[in-house]
Amino acid sequence: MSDASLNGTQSAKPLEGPYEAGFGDYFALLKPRVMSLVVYTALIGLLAAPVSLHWVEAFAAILFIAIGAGASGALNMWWDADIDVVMKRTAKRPIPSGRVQAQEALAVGLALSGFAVVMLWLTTNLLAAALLAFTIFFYAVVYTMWLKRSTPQNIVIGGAAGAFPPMIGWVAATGSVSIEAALMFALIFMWTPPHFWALALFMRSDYDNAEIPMLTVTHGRRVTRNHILGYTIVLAALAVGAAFTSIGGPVYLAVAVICNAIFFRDAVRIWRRDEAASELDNFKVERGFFKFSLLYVVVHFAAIWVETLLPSGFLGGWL
Amino acid sequence: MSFERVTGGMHERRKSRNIGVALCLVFFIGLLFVLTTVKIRDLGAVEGFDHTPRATALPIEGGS
Repeated sequence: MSDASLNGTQSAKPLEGPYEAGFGDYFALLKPRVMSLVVYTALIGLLAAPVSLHWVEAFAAILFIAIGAGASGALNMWWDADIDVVMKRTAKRPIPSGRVQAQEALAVGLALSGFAVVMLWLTTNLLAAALLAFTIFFYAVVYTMWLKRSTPQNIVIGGAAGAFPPMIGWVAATGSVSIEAALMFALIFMWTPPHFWALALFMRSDYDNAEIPMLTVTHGRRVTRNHILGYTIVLAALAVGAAFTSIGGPVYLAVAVICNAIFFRDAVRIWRRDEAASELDNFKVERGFFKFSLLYVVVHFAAIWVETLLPSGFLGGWL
Repeated sequence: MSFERVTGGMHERRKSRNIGVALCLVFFIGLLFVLTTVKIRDLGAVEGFDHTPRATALPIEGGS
Protein backbone atom coordinates (compact mmCIF):
# COMPACT_ATOMS: atom_id res chain seq x y z
CA MET A 1 0.00 0.00 0.00
CA SER A 2 1.97 2.85 -1.28
CA ASP A 3 1.49 5.91 0.84
CA ALA A 4 3.86 7.96 -1.21
CA SER A 5 2.83 11.29 -2.52
CA LEU A 6 4.54 14.23 -4.07
CA ASN A 7 2.11 16.55 -2.33
CA GLY A 8 2.17 17.87 1.16
CA THR A 9 5.79 18.82 1.23
CA GLN A 10 5.27 21.79 3.51
CA SER A 11 5.65 21.13 7.18
CA ALA A 12 2.57 21.79 9.26
CA LYS A 13 2.44 23.94 12.34
CA PRO A 14 0.84 22.34 15.40
CA LEU A 15 -2.58 23.76 16.14
CA GLU A 16 -2.97 26.08 19.06
CA GLY A 17 -5.84 25.71 21.52
CA PRO A 18 -8.60 23.09 21.59
CA TYR A 19 -9.50 21.45 18.31
CA GLU A 20 -12.29 19.07 17.49
CA ALA A 21 -11.71 16.96 14.41
CA GLY A 22 -14.16 17.27 11.56
CA PHE A 23 -15.36 14.37 9.43
CA GLY A 24 -12.71 15.12 6.81
CA ASP A 25 -9.96 14.82 9.43
CA TYR A 26 -11.04 11.29 10.29
CA PHE A 27 -11.43 10.44 6.61
CA ALA A 28 -7.85 11.62 6.01
CA LEU A 29 -6.72 8.96 8.49
CA LEU A 30 -7.78 6.35 5.95
CA LYS A 31 -5.22 7.56 3.37
CA PRO A 32 -7.70 8.17 0.54
CA ARG A 33 -4.99 8.19 -2.16
CA VAL A 34 -3.81 4.75 -1.09
CA MET A 35 -7.40 3.58 -0.94
CA SER A 36 -7.93 4.62 -4.55
CA LEU A 37 -5.16 2.25 -5.72
CA VAL A 38 -6.52 -0.52 -3.48
CA VAL A 39 -10.03 -0.02 -4.87
CA TYR A 40 -8.72 -0.08 -8.43
CA THR A 41 -6.59 -3.22 -8.15
CA ALA A 42 -9.18 -5.07 -6.05
CA LEU A 43 -11.85 -4.18 -8.60
CA ILE A 44 -9.75 -5.52 -11.47
CA GLY A 45 -9.07 -8.69 -9.47
CA LEU A 46 -12.79 -9.10 -8.96
CA LEU A 47 -13.73 -8.31 -12.57
CA ALA A 48 -11.02 -10.56 -14.00
CA ALA A 49 -12.33 -13.55 -12.06
CA PRO A 50 -14.25 -16.16 -14.05
CA VAL A 51 -17.13 -16.02 -11.54
CA SER A 52 -19.23 -12.89 -11.59
CA LEU A 53 -20.87 -11.45 -8.52
CA HIS A 54 -24.11 -9.49 -8.48
CA TRP A 55 -23.14 -5.83 -8.89
CA VAL A 56 -24.41 -4.98 -5.41
CA GLU A 57 -22.25 -7.71 -3.88
CA ALA A 58 -19.29 -6.59 -5.97
CA PHE A 59 -19.75 -2.98 -4.90
CA ALA A 60 -20.04 -3.96 -1.24
CA ALA A 61 -16.99 -6.22 -1.47
CA ILE A 62 -14.85 -3.45 -2.95
CA LEU A 63 -16.17 -0.99 -0.35
CA PHE A 64 -15.25 -3.28 2.55
CA ILE A 65 -11.82 -4.03 1.07
CA ALA A 66 -11.27 -0.26 0.78
CA ILE A 67 -12.42 0.30 4.37
CA GLY A 68 -10.06 -2.44 5.54
CA ALA A 69 -7.19 -0.78 3.67
CA GLY A 70 -8.14 2.57 5.16
CA ALA A 71 -8.26 1.06 8.64
CA SER A 72 -4.73 -0.25 8.26
CA GLY A 73 -3.72 3.24 7.15
CA ALA A 74 -5.18 4.70 10.35
CA LEU A 75 -3.26 2.13 12.42
CA ASN A 76 -0.12 3.04 10.48
CA MET A 77 -0.64 6.73 11.26
CA TRP A 78 -1.22 5.94 14.94
CA TRP A 79 2.03 4.00 15.25
CA ASP A 80 4.11 6.30 13.04
CA ALA A 81 2.93 9.60 14.54
CA ASP A 82 6.39 10.24 15.99
CA ILE A 83 8.18 9.94 12.65
CA ASP A 84 5.40 11.52 10.58
CA VAL A 85 5.90 14.76 12.47
CA VAL A 86 9.56 15.07 11.40
CA MET A 87 9.00 14.17 7.74
CA LYS A 88 7.94 17.00 5.44
CA ARG A 89 5.93 14.59 3.30
CA THR A 90 3.81 13.41 6.22
CA ALA A 91 3.82 16.38 8.63
CA LYS A 92 0.41 17.56 7.44
CA ARG A 93 -1.30 14.28 8.29
CA PRO A 94 -4.10 14.51 10.88
CA ILE A 95 -2.09 13.32 13.91
CA PRO A 96 1.19 15.25 13.50
CA SER A 97 -0.75 18.39 12.63
CA GLY A 98 -2.79 18.00 15.84
CA ARG A 99 -6.19 17.63 14.21
CA VAL A 100 -6.76 14.07 15.48
CA GLN A 101 -5.45 12.46 18.65
CA ALA A 102 -3.32 9.32 18.26
CA GLN A 103 -5.69 7.29 20.44
CA GLU A 104 -8.60 8.30 18.23
CA ALA A 105 -6.71 7.00 15.20
CA LEU A 106 -6.11 3.71 17.01
CA ALA A 107 -9.80 3.42 17.85
CA VAL A 108 -10.87 4.24 14.29
CA GLY A 109 -8.33 1.77 12.87
CA LEU A 110 -9.33 -1.12 15.12
CA ALA A 111 -13.07 -0.52 14.78
CA LEU A 112 -12.99 -0.24 11.00
CA SER A 113 -10.68 -3.27 10.71
CA GLY A 114 -13.16 -5.48 12.55
CA PHE A 115 -16.09 -3.98 10.68
CA ALA A 116 -14.50 -4.44 7.24
CA VAL A 117 -13.42 -8.03 7.84
CA VAL A 118 -16.78 -9.18 9.23
CA MET A 119 -18.76 -7.40 6.53
CA LEU A 120 -16.58 -8.82 3.74
CA TRP A 121 -17.13 -12.27 5.20
CA LEU A 122 -20.91 -11.81 5.27
CA THR A 123 -20.91 -10.27 1.79
CA THR A 124 -18.61 -12.76 0.05
CA ASN A 125 -16.77 -15.59 1.78
CA LEU A 126 -14.56 -16.47 4.73
CA LEU A 127 -11.34 -16.82 2.71
CA ALA A 128 -11.60 -13.29 1.30
CA ALA A 129 -12.26 -11.94 4.79
CA ALA A 130 -9.32 -13.89 6.21
CA LEU A 131 -7.05 -12.50 3.50
CA LEU A 132 -8.24 -8.98 4.30
CA ALA A 133 -7.58 -9.54 8.00
CA PHE A 134 -4.11 -10.86 7.20
CA THR A 135 -3.42 -7.87 4.95
CA ILE A 136 -4.37 -5.42 7.70
CA PHE A 137 -2.21 -7.35 10.17
CA PHE A 138 0.67 -7.49 7.71
CA TYR A 139 0.59 -3.76 6.99
CA ALA A 140 -0.06 -2.53 10.53
CA VAL A 141 2.07 -4.99 12.49
CA VAL A 142 4.62 -6.69 10.24
CA TYR A 143 5.43 -3.65 8.09
CA THR A 144 4.65 -0.62 10.25
CA MET A 145 5.64 -1.87 13.70
CA TRP A 146 8.45 -4.22 12.76
CA LEU A 147 10.05 -3.95 9.32
CA LYS A 148 9.81 -0.24 8.65
CA ARG A 149 12.22 0.79 11.40
CA SER A 150 14.43 -2.27 11.46
CA THR A 151 15.56 -3.24 7.96
CA PRO A 152 16.24 -1.66 4.57
CA GLN A 153 14.23 -4.54 3.15
CA ASN A 154 11.15 -2.95 4.75
CA ILE A 155 9.42 -2.02 1.53
CA VAL A 156 10.41 -5.22 -0.26
CA ILE A 157 8.70 -7.47 2.27
CA GLY A 158 6.12 -4.88 3.32
CA GLY A 159 5.12 -4.49 -0.31
CA ALA A 160 3.14 -7.69 0.09
CA ALA A 161 0.48 -5.72 1.96
CA GLY A 162 -0.18 -3.61 -1.10
CA ALA A 163 -0.14 -6.65 -3.36
CA PHE A 164 -3.00 -8.45 -1.64
CA PRO A 165 -6.02 -6.34 -2.80
CA PRO A 166 -6.33 -7.82 -6.33
CA MET A 167 -6.01 -11.29 -4.80
CA ILE A 168 -8.76 -10.46 -2.29
CA GLY A 169 -10.95 -9.20 -5.13
CA TRP A 170 -10.39 -12.42 -7.04
CA VAL A 171 -11.08 -14.59 -3.98
CA ALA A 172 -14.20 -12.56 -3.15
CA ALA A 173 -15.62 -13.64 -6.51
CA THR A 174 -14.30 -17.19 -6.80
CA GLY A 175 -13.85 -18.31 -3.19
CA SER A 176 -10.37 -19.69 -3.86
CA VAL A 177 -6.81 -18.57 -4.57
CA SER A 178 -5.51 -19.40 -8.03
CA ILE A 179 -2.47 -18.83 -10.21
CA GLU A 180 -4.12 -15.74 -11.75
CA ALA A 181 -4.54 -14.14 -8.33
CA ALA A 182 -0.94 -15.01 -7.48
CA LEU A 183 0.27 -13.37 -10.71
CA MET A 184 -1.54 -10.13 -9.95
CA PHE A 185 -0.07 -10.26 -6.44
CA ALA A 186 3.42 -10.79 -7.86
CA LEU A 187 3.04 -7.89 -10.26
CA ILE A 188 2.44 -5.35 -7.49
CA PHE A 189 4.89 -7.04 -5.13
CA MET A 190 7.76 -6.65 -7.61
CA TRP A 191 6.65 -3.16 -8.63
CA THR A 192 6.72 -1.74 -5.08
CA PRO A 193 10.52 -1.64 -4.43
CA PRO A 194 11.56 0.40 -7.50
CA HIS A 195 8.54 2.66 -6.95
CA PHE A 196 9.54 3.45 -3.36
CA TRP A 197 13.28 3.56 -3.89
CA ALA A 198 12.84 6.17 -6.62
CA LEU A 199 10.88 8.20 -4.06
CA ALA A 200 13.60 7.66 -1.48
CA LEU A 201 16.21 9.02 -3.88
CA PHE A 202 14.59 12.42 -4.12
CA MET A 203 13.09 12.53 -0.59
CA ARG A 204 16.29 11.48 1.15
CA SER A 205 16.32 14.11 3.86
CA ASP A 206 12.87 13.01 5.01
CA TYR A 207 13.97 9.45 5.70
CA ASP A 208 17.28 10.62 7.17
CA ASN A 209 15.49 12.93 9.61
CA ALA A 210 13.08 10.21 10.65
CA GLU A 211 15.91 7.67 10.97
CA ILE A 212 14.07 5.15 8.84
CA PRO A 213 16.54 2.57 7.49
CA MET A 214 15.71 3.05 3.85
CA LEU A 215 18.17 1.53 1.41
CA THR A 216 19.40 5.02 0.51
CA VAL A 217 20.36 5.59 4.16
CA THR A 218 21.82 2.20 5.06
CA HIS A 219 23.56 1.17 1.83
CA GLY A 220 23.94 4.41 -0.04
CA ARG A 221 22.42 5.89 -3.12
CA ARG A 222 24.62 4.02 -5.60
CA VAL A 223 23.39 0.69 -4.24
CA THR A 224 19.80 1.97 -4.37
CA ARG A 225 20.19 2.86 -8.03
CA ASN A 226 21.56 -0.64 -8.70
CA HIS A 227 18.63 -2.18 -6.86
CA ILE A 228 16.10 -0.14 -8.84
CA LEU A 229 17.55 -1.45 -12.09
CA GLY A 230 17.73 -5.03 -10.80
CA TYR A 231 14.12 -5.08 -9.59
CA THR A 232 12.93 -3.36 -12.77
CA ILE A 233 14.49 -6.14 -14.88
CA VAL A 234 12.80 -8.84 -12.78
CA LEU A 235 9.52 -6.91 -12.88
CA ALA A 236 9.71 -6.54 -16.66
CA ALA A 237 10.30 -10.28 -17.09
CA LEU A 238 7.35 -11.04 -14.83
CA ALA A 239 5.02 -8.47 -16.37
CA VAL A 240 5.74 -9.48 -19.96
CA GLY A 241 5.75 -13.18 -19.07
CA ALA A 242 2.26 -12.80 -17.56
CA ALA A 243 1.00 -12.04 -21.06
CA PHE A 244 1.38 -15.74 -21.84
CA THR A 245 -0.68 -16.87 -18.86
CA SER A 246 -4.42 -16.93 -18.34
CA ILE A 247 -4.58 -13.27 -17.24
CA GLY A 248 -2.74 -12.10 -20.34
CA GLY A 249 -3.29 -11.98 -24.06
CA PRO A 250 -2.35 -9.90 -27.10
CA VAL A 251 -3.60 -6.57 -25.72
CA TYR A 252 -1.92 -7.10 -22.39
CA LEU A 253 1.29 -8.13 -24.16
CA ALA A 254 1.36 -4.94 -26.22
CA VAL A 255 0.76 -2.80 -23.13
CA ALA A 256 3.33 -4.71 -21.08
CA VAL A 257 6.04 -4.48 -23.74
CA ILE A 258 5.58 -0.71 -24.18
CA CYS A 259 5.31 0.10 -20.46
CA ASN A 260 8.22 -2.09 -19.45
CA ALA A 261 10.41 -0.72 -22.23
CA ILE A 262 9.82 2.80 -20.90
CA PHE A 263 10.24 1.68 -17.29
CA PHE A 264 13.47 -0.15 -18.10
CA ARG A 265 14.82 2.80 -20.09
CA ASP A 266 14.20 5.15 -17.14
CA ALA A 267 15.69 2.64 -14.68
CA VAL A 268 18.86 2.53 -16.79
CA ARG A 269 18.94 6.34 -16.77
CA ILE A 270 18.69 6.34 -12.99
CA TRP A 271 21.41 3.70 -12.78
CA ARG A 272 23.77 5.67 -15.01
CA ARG A 273 23.33 8.95 -13.14
CA ASP A 274 25.36 10.08 -10.17
CA GLU A 275 24.32 12.39 -7.38
CA ALA A 276 25.82 15.47 -8.98
CA ALA A 277 23.78 14.98 -12.14
CA SER A 278 20.62 14.28 -10.17
CA GLU A 279 20.95 17.32 -7.97
CA LEU A 280 21.69 19.48 -10.97
CA ASP A 281 18.18 18.94 -12.38
CA ASN A 282 16.50 18.35 -9.00
CA PHE A 283 16.10 14.59 -9.58
CA LYS A 284 14.05 15.04 -12.73
CA VAL A 285 14.63 11.48 -13.96
CA GLU A 286 13.91 9.95 -10.54
CA ARG A 287 10.71 11.98 -10.20
CA GLY A 288 9.67 11.01 -13.70
CA PHE A 289 10.31 7.34 -12.94
CA PHE A 290 8.21 7.59 -9.78
CA LYS A 291 5.30 9.26 -11.57
CA PHE A 292 5.42 6.77 -14.42
CA SER A 293 5.41 3.89 -11.92
CA LEU A 294 1.91 4.95 -10.86
CA LEU A 295 0.71 4.92 -14.46
CA TYR A 296 2.48 1.57 -14.93
CA VAL A 297 0.24 -0.19 -12.42
CA VAL A 298 -2.93 1.46 -13.67
CA VAL A 299 -2.25 0.54 -17.29
CA HIS A 300 -1.22 -3.06 -16.57
CA PHE A 301 -4.33 -3.76 -14.55
CA ALA A 302 -6.51 -2.03 -17.11
CA ALA A 303 -5.04 -4.37 -19.73
CA ILE A 304 -5.81 -7.39 -17.54
CA TRP A 305 -9.41 -6.22 -17.36
CA VAL A 306 -9.61 -5.56 -21.10
CA GLU A 307 -8.44 -9.11 -21.77
CA THR A 308 -11.41 -10.45 -19.81
CA LEU A 309 -13.78 -8.43 -22.02
CA LEU A 310 -12.38 -9.71 -25.27
CA PRO A 311 -13.88 -12.83 -26.79
CA SER A 312 -11.67 -15.87 -26.42
CA GLY A 313 -9.76 -16.30 -29.61
CA PHE A 314 -9.46 -12.56 -30.21
CA LEU A 315 -6.46 -11.98 -32.47
CA GLY A 316 -5.84 -15.69 -32.18
CA GLY A 317 -5.65 -15.45 -28.36
CA TRP A 318 -3.28 -18.03 -27.07
CA LEU A 319 -5.13 -19.16 -23.98
CA MET B 1 -16.92 20.73 35.95
CA SER B 2 -15.63 23.01 33.25
CA PHE B 3 -17.06 23.92 29.91
CA GLU B 4 -14.92 24.60 26.88
CA ARG B 5 -15.95 27.55 24.81
CA VAL B 6 -17.22 26.31 21.46
CA THR B 7 -15.77 28.47 18.73
CA GLY B 8 -17.27 28.97 15.27
CA GLY B 9 -14.74 26.70 13.57
CA MET B 10 -15.20 24.04 16.20
CA HIS B 11 -18.97 24.19 15.74
CA GLU B 12 -18.57 23.77 11.99
CA ARG B 13 -16.31 20.74 12.39
CA ARG B 14 -18.64 19.18 14.94
CA LYS B 15 -21.52 19.69 12.54
CA SER B 16 -19.59 18.18 9.64
CA ARG B 17 -18.71 15.19 11.82
CA ASN B 18 -22.32 14.63 12.85
CA ILE B 19 -23.64 14.95 9.31
CA GLY B 20 -20.87 12.71 7.98
CA VAL B 21 -21.55 9.97 10.51
CA ALA B 22 -25.31 10.22 9.91
CA LEU B 23 -24.87 9.90 6.14
CA CYS B 24 -22.56 6.92 6.61
CA LEU B 25 -25.09 5.19 8.84
CA VAL B 26 -27.98 5.83 6.43
CA PHE B 27 -25.85 4.60 3.53
CA PHE B 28 -24.84 1.49 5.47
CA ILE B 29 -28.44 0.66 6.38
CA GLY B 30 -29.46 1.07 2.74
CA LEU B 31 -26.57 -1.10 1.58
CA LEU B 32 -27.45 -3.81 4.10
CA PHE B 33 -31.06 -3.79 2.93
CA VAL B 34 -30.17 -4.09 -0.76
CA LEU B 35 -27.46 -6.67 -0.01
CA THR B 36 -29.90 -8.78 1.99
CA THR B 37 -32.43 -8.60 -0.83
CA VAL B 38 -29.83 -9.76 -3.35
CA LYS B 39 -28.64 -12.58 -1.09
CA ILE B 40 -32.19 -13.85 -0.59
CA ARG B 41 -32.87 -13.71 -4.33
CA ASP B 42 -29.76 -15.79 -4.91
CA LEU B 43 -31.32 -18.55 -2.82
CA GLY B 44 -34.02 -19.02 -5.47
CA ALA B 45 -37.79 -19.10 -5.08
CA VAL B 46 -38.97 -18.77 -1.50
CA GLU B 47 -42.26 -20.39 -0.49
CA GLY B 48 -44.14 -18.45 2.15
CA PHE B 49 -46.75 -19.86 4.52
CA ASP B 50 -50.21 -18.82 3.31
CA HIS B 51 -52.56 -21.22 5.20
CA THR B 52 -52.76 -23.63 2.27
CA PRO B 53 -50.73 -26.80 1.78
CA ARG B 54 -47.58 -26.21 -0.23
CA ALA B 55 -47.57 -28.18 -3.43
CA THR B 56 -43.96 -29.17 -3.08
CA ALA B 57 -44.53 -30.39 0.49
CA LEU B 58 -47.38 -32.77 -0.41
CA PRO B 59 -46.57 -36.47 -0.91
CA ILE B 60 -46.40 -37.50 -4.54
CA GLU B 61 -49.46 -39.55 -5.53
CA GLY B 62 -48.50 -43.13 -6.30
CA GLY B 63 -44.95 -42.41 -5.28
CA SER B 64 -43.02 -43.98 -2.44
